[in-house]
Amino acid sequence: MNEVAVKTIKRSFAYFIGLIFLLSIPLIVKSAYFHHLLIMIGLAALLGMSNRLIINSGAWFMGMAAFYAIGAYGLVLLREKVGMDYWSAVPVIGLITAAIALGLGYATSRVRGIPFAIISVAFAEVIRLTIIKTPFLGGHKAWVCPPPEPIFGITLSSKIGIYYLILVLCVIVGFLFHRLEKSPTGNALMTMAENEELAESIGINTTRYKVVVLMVGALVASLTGTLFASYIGIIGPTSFSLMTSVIILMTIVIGGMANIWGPIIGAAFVTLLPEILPGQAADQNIAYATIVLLTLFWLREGLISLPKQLKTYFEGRAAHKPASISGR
Amino acid sequence: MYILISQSLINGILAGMIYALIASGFTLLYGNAGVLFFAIGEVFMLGAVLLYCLIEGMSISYFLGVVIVMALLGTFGMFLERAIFRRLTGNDLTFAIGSLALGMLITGIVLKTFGERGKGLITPFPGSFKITGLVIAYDKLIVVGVGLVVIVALHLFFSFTKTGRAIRAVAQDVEAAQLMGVEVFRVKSLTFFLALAVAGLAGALVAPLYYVDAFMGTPVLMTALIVVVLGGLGSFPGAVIGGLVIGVLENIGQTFLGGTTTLLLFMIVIVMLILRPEGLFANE
Amino acid sequence: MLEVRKLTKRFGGLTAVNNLSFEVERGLIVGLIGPNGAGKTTVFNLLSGYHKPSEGDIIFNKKKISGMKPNKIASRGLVRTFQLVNLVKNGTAISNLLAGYHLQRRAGILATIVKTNKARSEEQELWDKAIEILKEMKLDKRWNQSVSSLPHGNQKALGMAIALAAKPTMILLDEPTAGMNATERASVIKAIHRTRETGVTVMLVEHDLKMVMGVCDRVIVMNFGHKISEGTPEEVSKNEEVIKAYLGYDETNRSGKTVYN
Repeated sequence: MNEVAVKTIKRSFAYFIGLIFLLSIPLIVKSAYFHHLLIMIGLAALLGMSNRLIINSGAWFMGMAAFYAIGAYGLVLLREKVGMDYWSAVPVIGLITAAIALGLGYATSRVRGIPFAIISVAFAEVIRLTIIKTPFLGGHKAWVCPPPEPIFGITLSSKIGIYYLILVLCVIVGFLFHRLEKSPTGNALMTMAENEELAESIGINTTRYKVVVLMVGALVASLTGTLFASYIGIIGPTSFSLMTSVIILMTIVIGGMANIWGPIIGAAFVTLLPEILPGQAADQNIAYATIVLLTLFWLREGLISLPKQLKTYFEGRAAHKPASISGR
Repeated sequence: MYILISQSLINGILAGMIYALIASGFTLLYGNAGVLFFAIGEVFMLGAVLLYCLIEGMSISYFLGVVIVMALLGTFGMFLERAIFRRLTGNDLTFAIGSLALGMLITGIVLKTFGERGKGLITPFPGSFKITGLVIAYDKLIVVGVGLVVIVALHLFFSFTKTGRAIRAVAQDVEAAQLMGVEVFRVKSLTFFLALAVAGLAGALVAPLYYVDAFMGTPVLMTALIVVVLGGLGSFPGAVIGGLVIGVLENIGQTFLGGTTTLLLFMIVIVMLILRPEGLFANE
Repeated sequence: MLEVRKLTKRFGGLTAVNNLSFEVERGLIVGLIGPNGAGKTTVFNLLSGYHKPSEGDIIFNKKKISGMKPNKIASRGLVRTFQLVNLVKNGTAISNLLAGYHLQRRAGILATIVKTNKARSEEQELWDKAIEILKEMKLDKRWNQSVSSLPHGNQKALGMAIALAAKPTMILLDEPTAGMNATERASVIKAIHRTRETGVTVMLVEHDLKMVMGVCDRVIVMNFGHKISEGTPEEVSKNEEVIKAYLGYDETNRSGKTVYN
């Protein structure tokens, strides 16, 4: 059996074990707080993965909170005003999100780099301010959102139910995005991101790809928004601020952009750090910021590059050893 | 009606001056050092906080305080350049997030030392004068005046002095500038000095007019960014004119449209950037 | 095959290309030459869709392509290379080459993600083809290396291979031998001949007059945005206007080659 096949089998086995582990956690560890953390990590990871997809295609999108909000508010409004249940509302929200992302994508198709980033931030703020200024959308008031109705006979009203739902979504999205990267389409996206001129010259329709990628990222984010609303139970405009978009970006910058694990590890980092840090708001800010700065300073490619950096570091030290071995 | 508009105009010019200064700092840093310095809002806040401490804590006079604040923050900028940014390679996104974290750090430190409540500063130039039925406060006039002087000075500096032109050369093309004998590192240090000094100046000027607290930088950053991008990244004139325009629009909007001003402003910005992404005064 | 009618391009006050008309017949190797600033690269940019003409038409294979986007033009069979090396710098030799097959892939996006049998076999086929091409360029051992570590000549050759991977019916080569030594130049000339043998029409922009005269069937000469002569290499080299244009150019810039483009 050749080397590649052995490696693939080993890796698949590791994933399998990991999956079993994650599936059985709620049964082993009963702490509700622990479940809460895992759910928050899952949500952050989904947002991070979708933001990373968009950024890796060359568009500096920094307003992910917008689509997160569209999902959450869409669900809440469809429930309250139209009386839909979770599972009927989701496809409708999907269509709305896709339409908005389509429009935004085509409108900004000629805009690159920093101006695009500013548009994305302004867009997120426009969404948030629209919510605040429109009484129909609730203004500053908080909406209550019940958990999803049972489907296929499975009840999802408990924390554990939502946990499994989010876990399944994470696995599916992670798997699909990972496969996408390795596929020829992923290669086309990377070509487009690194060298748009070249991509166009070999027939890649950069506009269409950019818009589609934005739509896919937006859909995942808004789906995550519906889960967020269903889990937390109460949503208000403060959950979808500029800071939210920034934190999502942090998951990819700190975790690393190189592969799909980056945003997942970044999500864990970003979610757990505030919990570990003691003290009041000011101290927390200082500690959080310092740790983020140090991480960025030492691990410029993110936490996932840690094994690589450690290896280089130790190999560098080993190279100095021969002088002592030769008996001086 | 006339009074309403004129008063808004005056307040708009005042706000515009502040935006112009902060935006200039940001655009200088981007154009010269390629740095997206998102902590510029916090530097603005530091300017106000430091001035407060100097005046209230050490009884230093207003103008001297302002000069000291500029010098301090300018030096801080040079320190940042040498200690951190010179060592750093990495993509733009890392820098952006890093400077955001830096801003958070500064806010945290200020919260701890300065306290959470906003503090007021007694205006050094009380009183106002009337002209054609409008009331113009002296201190606001001073702010606009000082701002104008600094902006004109900067413009002259960039246009006519050797160092100023060296800075512009680096902004246009680093390699060509090097070939012509410009010491790029020196220029970068100077750019950081100027940028932070100017942003800090804006804060110091604003301090006596409103009040000083640790969070005053955040809303300003957003507007400054919009100004920078509308005016053209890296363009000093763009930042100045853009700042004034936005300041005036914002104020007139507030007077007549109230709360939805920011929303409308953002929408206008989005449309403008779609139509002309490079900004109005794109790269010199 | 390619017909250009009254093509004009203005940038603000500057007219880079002025009322240019010419035709390229199928299967020929045509050269576009002229002193620096004559407008040659602008013509290529217009032909390949990177600029929109201010006036005039471009007709390729009997269909109007003026004003189309580059990717659409490429899908119609007209592909270009770039004067300065244009690759995905962070990518490997093979990933760059495989990207070029974009237009040829039949398997859908979902199919490649799920790795259906059809998708997998298509990818394997393309991989084998790519390795073959790398072997011909003597790069097969370095298939997994970053392209930035390859020597300049190889990088340009790879650029041309990527363009050919898109299976064009006509290819535009932008200064294919710029910055190359004699051996590299010879292999480029060989590659151009081979390309023509596979049925692809070639049009190239070049500064190396000797190379152009040796390789091309027909030559079009430009100066200041106009066409000043057209014909076989012999005819054109005897044309007075052409000699004047190049002589005037030669006086200021010795060898007819530029230092940097």
